[in-house]
Amino acid sequence: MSTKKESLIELIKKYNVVTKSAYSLAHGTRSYYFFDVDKFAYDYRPVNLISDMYSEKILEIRAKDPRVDRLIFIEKDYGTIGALPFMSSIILKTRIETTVVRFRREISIGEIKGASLSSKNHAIIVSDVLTSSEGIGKAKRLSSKYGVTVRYAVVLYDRTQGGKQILKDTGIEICSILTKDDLVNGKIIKANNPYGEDTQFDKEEQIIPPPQERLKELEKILGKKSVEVLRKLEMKG
Amino acid sequence: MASLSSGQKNEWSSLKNEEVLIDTCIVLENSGNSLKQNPDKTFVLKLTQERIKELAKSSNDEDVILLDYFLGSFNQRLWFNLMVDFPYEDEKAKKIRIEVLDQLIKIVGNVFKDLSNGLGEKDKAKKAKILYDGYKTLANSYENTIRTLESLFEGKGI
Repeated sequence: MSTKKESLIELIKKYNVVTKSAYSLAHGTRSYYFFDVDKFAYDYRPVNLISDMYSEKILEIRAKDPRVDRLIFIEKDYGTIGALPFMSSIILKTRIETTVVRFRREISIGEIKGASLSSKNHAIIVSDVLTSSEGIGKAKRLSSKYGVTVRYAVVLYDRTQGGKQILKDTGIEICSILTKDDLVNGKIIKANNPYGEDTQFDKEEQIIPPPQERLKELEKILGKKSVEVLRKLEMKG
Repeated sequence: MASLSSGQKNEWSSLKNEEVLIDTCIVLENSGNSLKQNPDKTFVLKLTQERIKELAKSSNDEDVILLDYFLGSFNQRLWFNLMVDFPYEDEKAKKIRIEVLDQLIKIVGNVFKDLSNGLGEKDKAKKAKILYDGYKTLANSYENTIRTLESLFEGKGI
């Protein structure tokens, strides 16, 4: 009998979730494959399996830390729909109250939806794909405005490009359902060359440098003043 | 049928641009008046933007294309952030919010009339100044409305 992970790998193949071309990812670097969660978010079989796997991870965390009483989902400002299609199913399976944070909102009224947030809450952020950790970082900052403690995040797929370490440095532990190794072992992508051997996209995926290094690089391009503005914006969340 | 010469094509394109410019001015003038008189009828704002989008598609007048681009972005931000989706408000807050939004829509109405005059202006420098001032007023009014509402609902969260 196949494990849930094996079943998921089969579904990824069936629904062509991983596509191979040249993509600009949300955090702003180029990639040669794309993990598109939206592809299998509209059929009950993958939705059921994936929400099961998310819920198991969430409940494992709650067994470790019983203070966890909120799930935080992200309404992104661009890109895929992400983990939102799985939200209702995960709420049913975990019975944990849920809040959605909305990055595109420019006014604080309506920037969070669902269960209210306060300093009494301990939350897990639920997201789809981890690359640079930008989305989870933003969600944490927005939740922090309401005093919420966030120590964990659950993602469906970790691209293993450095996001996990960046989040660890900010006090968030990442639990991923799949990592790049699983796609490599499932023969969906290759270890060093996700696109394939005989193409112009014969490149290894980049490891995203930590924020400090990225800011240093930006400083060379944009100058010190611009980077100071970015830092302030980042602090404002 | 005989094909048009290059000169005829240019002349035709110029006439078409002129026609679109006049139509755009009329749309802005009329919707400006309507928004000033009936700020609750915000659908006029949406329809104006749709109409200008259509006009801009059939023109290569840079000012009309910029207007379409600006209004598209402005409307999107306006609707996403200010027009809908204000949960958990009491009667008093609702009343003030509507007053604040009506005020913004009236300003939009005024600016539309200015933009209509600006687009029709023959003097290039004057035209640029009127259009720039109009866009600046729209952007500042939007930001001010956000700030006013933020202070009104401060601490209310969602």
